[in-house]
Amino acid sequence: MNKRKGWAQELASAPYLIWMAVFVIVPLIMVAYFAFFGDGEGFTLEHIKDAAQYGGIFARSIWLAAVATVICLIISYPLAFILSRMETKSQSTMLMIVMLPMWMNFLLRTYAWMTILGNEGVLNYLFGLVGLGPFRMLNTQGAIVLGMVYNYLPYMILPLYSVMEKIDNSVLEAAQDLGCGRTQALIRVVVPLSLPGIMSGITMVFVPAISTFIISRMLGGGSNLLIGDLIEMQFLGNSYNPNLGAAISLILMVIVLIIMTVMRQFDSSDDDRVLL
Amino acid sequence: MKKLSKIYMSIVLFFLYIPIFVMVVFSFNTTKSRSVMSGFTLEWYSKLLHNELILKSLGNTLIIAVCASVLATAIGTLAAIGIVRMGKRTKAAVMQVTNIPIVNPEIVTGVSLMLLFVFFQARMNFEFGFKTLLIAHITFDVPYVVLNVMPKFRQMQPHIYEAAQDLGCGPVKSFFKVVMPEIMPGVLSGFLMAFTFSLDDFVVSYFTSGSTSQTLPITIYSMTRRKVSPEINALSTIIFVIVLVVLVAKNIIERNRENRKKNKTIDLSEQKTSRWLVIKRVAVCAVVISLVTGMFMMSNGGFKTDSDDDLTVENPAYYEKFKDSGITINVYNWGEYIPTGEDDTIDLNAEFTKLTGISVNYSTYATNEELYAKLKGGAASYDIIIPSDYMISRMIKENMLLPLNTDNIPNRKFIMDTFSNPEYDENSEYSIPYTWGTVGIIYNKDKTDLTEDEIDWDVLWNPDYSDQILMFDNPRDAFAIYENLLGYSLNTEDRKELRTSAEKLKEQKKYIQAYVMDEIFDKMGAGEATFAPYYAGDAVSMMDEYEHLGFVLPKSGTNMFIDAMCIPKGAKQKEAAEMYINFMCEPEVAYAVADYIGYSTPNNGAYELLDDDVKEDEISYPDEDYLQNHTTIFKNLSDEANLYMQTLWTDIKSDR
Repeated sequence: MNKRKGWAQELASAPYLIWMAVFVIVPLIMVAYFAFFGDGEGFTLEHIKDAAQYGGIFARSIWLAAVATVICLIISYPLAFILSRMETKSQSTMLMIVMLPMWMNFLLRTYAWMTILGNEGVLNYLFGLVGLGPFRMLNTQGAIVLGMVYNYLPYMILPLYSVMEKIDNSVLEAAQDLGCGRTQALIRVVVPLSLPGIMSGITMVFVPAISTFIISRMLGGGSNLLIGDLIEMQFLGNSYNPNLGAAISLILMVIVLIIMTVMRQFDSSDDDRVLL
Repeated sequence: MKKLSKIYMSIVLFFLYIPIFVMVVFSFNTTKSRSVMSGFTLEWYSKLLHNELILKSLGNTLIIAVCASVLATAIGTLAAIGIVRMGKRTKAAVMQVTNIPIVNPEIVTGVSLMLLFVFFQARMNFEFGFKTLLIAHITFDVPYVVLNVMPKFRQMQPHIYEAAQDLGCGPVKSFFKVVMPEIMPGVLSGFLMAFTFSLDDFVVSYFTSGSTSQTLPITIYSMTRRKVSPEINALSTIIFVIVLVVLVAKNIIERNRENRKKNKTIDLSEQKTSRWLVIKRVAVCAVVISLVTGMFMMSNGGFKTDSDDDLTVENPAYYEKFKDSGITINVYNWGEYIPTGEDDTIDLNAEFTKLTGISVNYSTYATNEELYAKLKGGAASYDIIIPSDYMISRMIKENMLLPLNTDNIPNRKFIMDTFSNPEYDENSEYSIPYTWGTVGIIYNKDKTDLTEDEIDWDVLWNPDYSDQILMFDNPRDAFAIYENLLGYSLNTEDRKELRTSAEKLKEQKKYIQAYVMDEIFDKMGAGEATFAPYYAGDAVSMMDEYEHLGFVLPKSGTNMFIDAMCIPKGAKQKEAAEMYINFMCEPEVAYAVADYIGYSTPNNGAYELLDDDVKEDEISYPDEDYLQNHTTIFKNLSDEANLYMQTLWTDIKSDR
């Protein structure tokens, strides 16, 4: 390919570059603008300061998202390992069975949890049959974490599975031949090799979990606000204030950026690995 | 060890499948109960298939998903072709940008696009709706296409393109002959990925859809917020079954094919993941297509036939004007605030369309503040809105409403004198009353020994009913409750009084089960809670439906509200909107509204049509004395007081 054609070829990406500039970069700049400039007031830190007063909500969101991420990791790790050690044929079937529930709309799935956890819900009915309860489960922080774990579990399983699948059984056998016990082989071989999967799993669960507003609204009863709720309230909800909303969005982006940077330190593999 | 793995797998699978199982079981339940199976029925399925809102939004979802994924694939594939040629640095920078929509929280993407569209809307003739939704979907779809196509270029032998040219192909021909087949799997899986993300997206669509194009997830969301019917379970079950069937079939086919080309192993693991992705996407496409065809086939002829009892209107000729113009008006109303044809009622919007030829695009909100935010933010345009008193005066003050042309609304004569020239709209210039009502306490008779006389607002602070209390999720109604109790004015702007109320509302938080609005209907009906504040009209319909509910108008006083029809600034079809208002003032129509939603009517003609026991009902039509001495109509507060109340409210909600 000569230079001239190369130039023509690069031009093919022009629509994309323009698109991304107009609909990704410019909107983000607008968020920043709204966060720092009020209605003709000029530059101000007022909105950021206002946003800072909701530190409690930020802390709660980070905490709940972190708890959910850790639980996801704990559940998914053994599962992904078991999956990856199965026969190749049954692997895809099993994976399909694990992923099947995720094809339903997540609002519907979350709604189903409402009917299960409610005071008059299925679980409390079952408890009632054996003379227990009723327990308060819906509208608690626990319910929010449950919703996050349930909805984002596949985002953890998939990256873990795709890394572990590449670990050859002979590597494990070699470790054992060299004197490792089963557990030791797991800790010394599988964990380091699956580290990139763990890291991308963590980001893929943590980011949607920290910014959700549906799960907290449906399962948290409106009294456990998260960052997402706060943002939604400022734009389409009960306390209209786009400047404050933009400031909070900006802070959320910064939090996510920090998390990503930290995670990327561990993740040495190349960037455009398939994301799902 | 093997056994242990199996047990572990089963536990996780149980966790994953339990909600689905519950949905499937209760989609066949005869009653609306969410905990006890009382019998088998297919009623919800047939209702679902007659639900035009769901079918329409399903259609919208499909159109958007197809258009967005096709365009995204085109743009993304072209982009990948260019990006591979770029220098290392440029490439890295472009890939960074590509990653933004993927790693950015969805809500930020949604909000940022909304801000952009609002900006454009104000400066160009540009409207929220299909276009904005499409742009938003393409934006979050494109990166996935790029990321799927790029690796294919890397795997490609770099010299085959040149070889093709050496063998006599032109550059374009060699591209299509040689390069395209190589990158095709990437393009395909990128397309399918984009398609699935579009189908399932809620958050970004929520912020960018405006008033006209509702997608299925948005419709589902509004369904989960109102009185929920088992229809939603039926919908889930249908989707699940179709996915299941398609996947199993696909899996079998794949396995056969795998057996056939067993000895052909090129990078097996790679192939497996990409194949897995393809299966997933193809499955979803198939699901949707079969779902739609299934629905249309089954509902064929089942669409609501015109109701037998035709409406009689005052002056049929008046409604002829737009008969063949094919225009549509956007109506934004409260949830559950008009008969929609459910439960053998009359479908008023459909009747209006039948009468006038004007289509109605109907959507709902849950609080005045939500309506205000939507209009003020500029993220949608409507022709008809139905705010309450204080919100009307706020909107008038902020120049957000258009004055009505009363010549176009002859049926205004039916509005009772007491409702003309109200305080919030002194010359009745901007609004025509739709309904009115009061706020009271709805309670579960089975769960409390308190008699009607003993129940007042303070019950919402009663520790005995901790976790059994629901509370309004909007500042104005919530503050009013405590202001009633303390004898403050419901329109107080006194900072100290507002602060005291806020303290009290914060204290109440530990007894509250949830902050909700329209969900009260569902939760009280299901027996989830014992006490909740609610609007009298809805309480009447709830008591009709559930025997265990009772309703009290508190002695310490309450708020009386009037909801009125207005035309917001920016309305595209003002005259058609006035026709709609006139239609809603037809005595028979207003009667149908009052009869179905249970709210009180300000329409003389409709009031005459009511049964005597309704006219004498203490809840719907309290005596003059109570209305005069115990109720207050909200007034618009000053901007400072509004802002202060809002800050206090966010503070209350975020406390703990």
